Amino acid sequence: MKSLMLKTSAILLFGALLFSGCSSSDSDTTPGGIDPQVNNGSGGTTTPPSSAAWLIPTNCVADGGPGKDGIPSIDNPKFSTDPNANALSFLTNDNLLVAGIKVGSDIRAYPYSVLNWHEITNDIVGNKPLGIIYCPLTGTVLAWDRNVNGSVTEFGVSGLLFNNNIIPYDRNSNSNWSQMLLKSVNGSLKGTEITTHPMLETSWGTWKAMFPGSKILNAVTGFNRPYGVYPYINGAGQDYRESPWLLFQNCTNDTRRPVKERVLGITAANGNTKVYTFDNFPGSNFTAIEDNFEGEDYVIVGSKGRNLIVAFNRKQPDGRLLSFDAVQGELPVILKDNEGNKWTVFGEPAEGGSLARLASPAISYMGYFFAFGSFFQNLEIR
Amino acid sequence: MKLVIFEILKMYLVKNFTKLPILLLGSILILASKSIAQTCCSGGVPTSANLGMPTSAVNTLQMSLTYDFNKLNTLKTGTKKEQNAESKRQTHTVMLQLGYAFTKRFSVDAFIPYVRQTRTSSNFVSTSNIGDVVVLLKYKILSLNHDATVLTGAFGVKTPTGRDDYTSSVSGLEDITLSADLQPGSGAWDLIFWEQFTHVIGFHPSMSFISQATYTHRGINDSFDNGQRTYKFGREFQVMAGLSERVNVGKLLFDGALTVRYRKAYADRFKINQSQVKKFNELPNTGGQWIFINPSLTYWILPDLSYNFNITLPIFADITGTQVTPTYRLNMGFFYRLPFKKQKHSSPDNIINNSMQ
Repeated sequence: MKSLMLKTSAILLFGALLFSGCSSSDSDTTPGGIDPQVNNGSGGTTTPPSSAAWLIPTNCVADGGPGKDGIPSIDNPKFSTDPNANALSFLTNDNLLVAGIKVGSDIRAYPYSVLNWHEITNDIVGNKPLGIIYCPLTGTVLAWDRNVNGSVTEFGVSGLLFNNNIIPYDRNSNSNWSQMLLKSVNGSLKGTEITTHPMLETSWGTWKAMFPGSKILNAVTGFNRPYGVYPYINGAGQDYRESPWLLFQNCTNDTRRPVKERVLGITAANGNTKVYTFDNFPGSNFTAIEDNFEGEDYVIVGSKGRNLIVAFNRKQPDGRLLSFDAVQGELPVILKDNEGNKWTVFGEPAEGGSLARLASPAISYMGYFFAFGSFFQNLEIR
Repeated sequence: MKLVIFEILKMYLVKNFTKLPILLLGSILILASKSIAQTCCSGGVPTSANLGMPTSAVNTLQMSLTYDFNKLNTLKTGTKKEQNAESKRQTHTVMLQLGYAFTKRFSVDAFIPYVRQTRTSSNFVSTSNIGDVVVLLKYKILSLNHDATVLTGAFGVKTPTGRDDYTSSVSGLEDITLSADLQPGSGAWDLIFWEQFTHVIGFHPSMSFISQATYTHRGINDSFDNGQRTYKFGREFQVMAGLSERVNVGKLLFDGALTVRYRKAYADRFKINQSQVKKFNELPNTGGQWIFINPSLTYWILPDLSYNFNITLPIFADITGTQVTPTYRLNMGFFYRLPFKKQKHSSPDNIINNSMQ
């Protein structure tokens, strides 16, 4: 009897010991790095970082829940070129969004249906090591050069968010980065800026029409996920993409436009940002508008029906300032300049030749309006 | 009103003893239809599954000290298992329960947990502290044939004694507040309604039937995330039913039990305090329903001292969205009864109850 008591006591003690083990507590010339112009929502004053370890106010950094790499990045991406391939069976609707990139002759698309579950794809496109960094909560996607400080790294999902926006980490230094600030905000590389490569966002239907033989990131990711299911629908059937609620606190809120309205943001070299709404590009035909922002002349071309907005600098390397008109029915050609040259959605001359690629703005990408409003003071809207 | 209902119920039970199982099922269904729903992904301090000390004689102090290990390593979407999760969760809880019967009908239980929550992915995060303390006031509504059949109801509160503001333990991230489901406490007052029915099988007196139902109405934590978010865990309903059998092996006395437990958890709700969206919204990927099977073995070391070991395995899960969901749960501990007045030991029902913990 006593020995049994001892045994049972030992088992319980083992449990207690387990317990006590714890402690309480091509033209990738876009310059990276934007100063965090966040504020506390009380009138636009800049909030200083609340910790020496961080470049951003930590009261606006949230633990998303899954933990570091709890959302696994895709580190060995596989692609299909046939849009009807089984591995792309999750692309059931032409309205689903994809992010597209072209480096040299290498054209790839990354469906959000996959990115929603992984957020980061470490890829090599046209021999360039790139990290496709996507944030489902801010609707932003950017291609980051994985060559950081002279060595190629991989990016992973830290599980943290700043203003609801993804904080990737790099696996060489373990530093945390801000996707929308384009710089490391915590760790040994704190302050280091990232270089980006232009990407565009459009619908699967438009992409297929533009680049029918391109490489599409498929479901062979090494993980078993329901790629046909959007992960941010709550039990009441509310879809995050279409709802006014956010999951985490922003440092500031800009209420001038609908929270989840998709806009194209252009960030100038000085960090000032302007967003362009689809209201400028109604219908299925493409519309081109010319605009000057922070001393730069841009042409912004888009179509709400085609679900696409892109922007380019009008000024050529030799100083000429081109004027543009939209082109209809010739996708991927969307622009024609005043000299008769036609240009594609990636700013490349449609007929090749010696023409240089149109320069992209310093930084431009699509995202939800609230994201730009929470990151950039004095945000301009058109 | 409830007392009137209980008195009517009592009279009916006495007259219709053979219809007890049907009546019990009815009462469970009524409770279920009233409940609305908690989330899985919370590592889960196993409060609801452990509430309720056995029925005891007057002026008896009961104590139990248990260790509970809850492993969440399974990733599911709806009813479909995806694979083992990249982010693994564990909850270790040491629970001290004290129960005291003031009268033949009234007793009070106190539940004091010490909780350690862990999350393992590419880094390891843990919190540990006293959790939320529960106090339960119990009333024996019905007692027949010297407690061979007992219906007990209880009302309780879960008090926000546990910390809800732990920050990350990872170097360099010490300023980041951890997610709500990693905190030892909820930061909110909850209301708990509990009922238990036990019945010794007449034709087989060493066997007993037991059922429990628990409904937890969640309170609001309006200062989570340094005051930035208001958070409300989803309401929860649980019902459990099973059989217990007493076995003598030589001079050793054992109680074996097998129970089935259904748990319905409604989605967590939240709002961002500075947002223009003032109403609560459901948090995606929280809530669901589960069925568990729970074999248990109790060894009576002394007439008033027992050791219990049980394991809980999910046999069905239908969860909202995609979540890390329980893989298994282990629970082991001692139970001790200290009578302040001389009395008979070991009435069948209290042994039953203890084996069902």
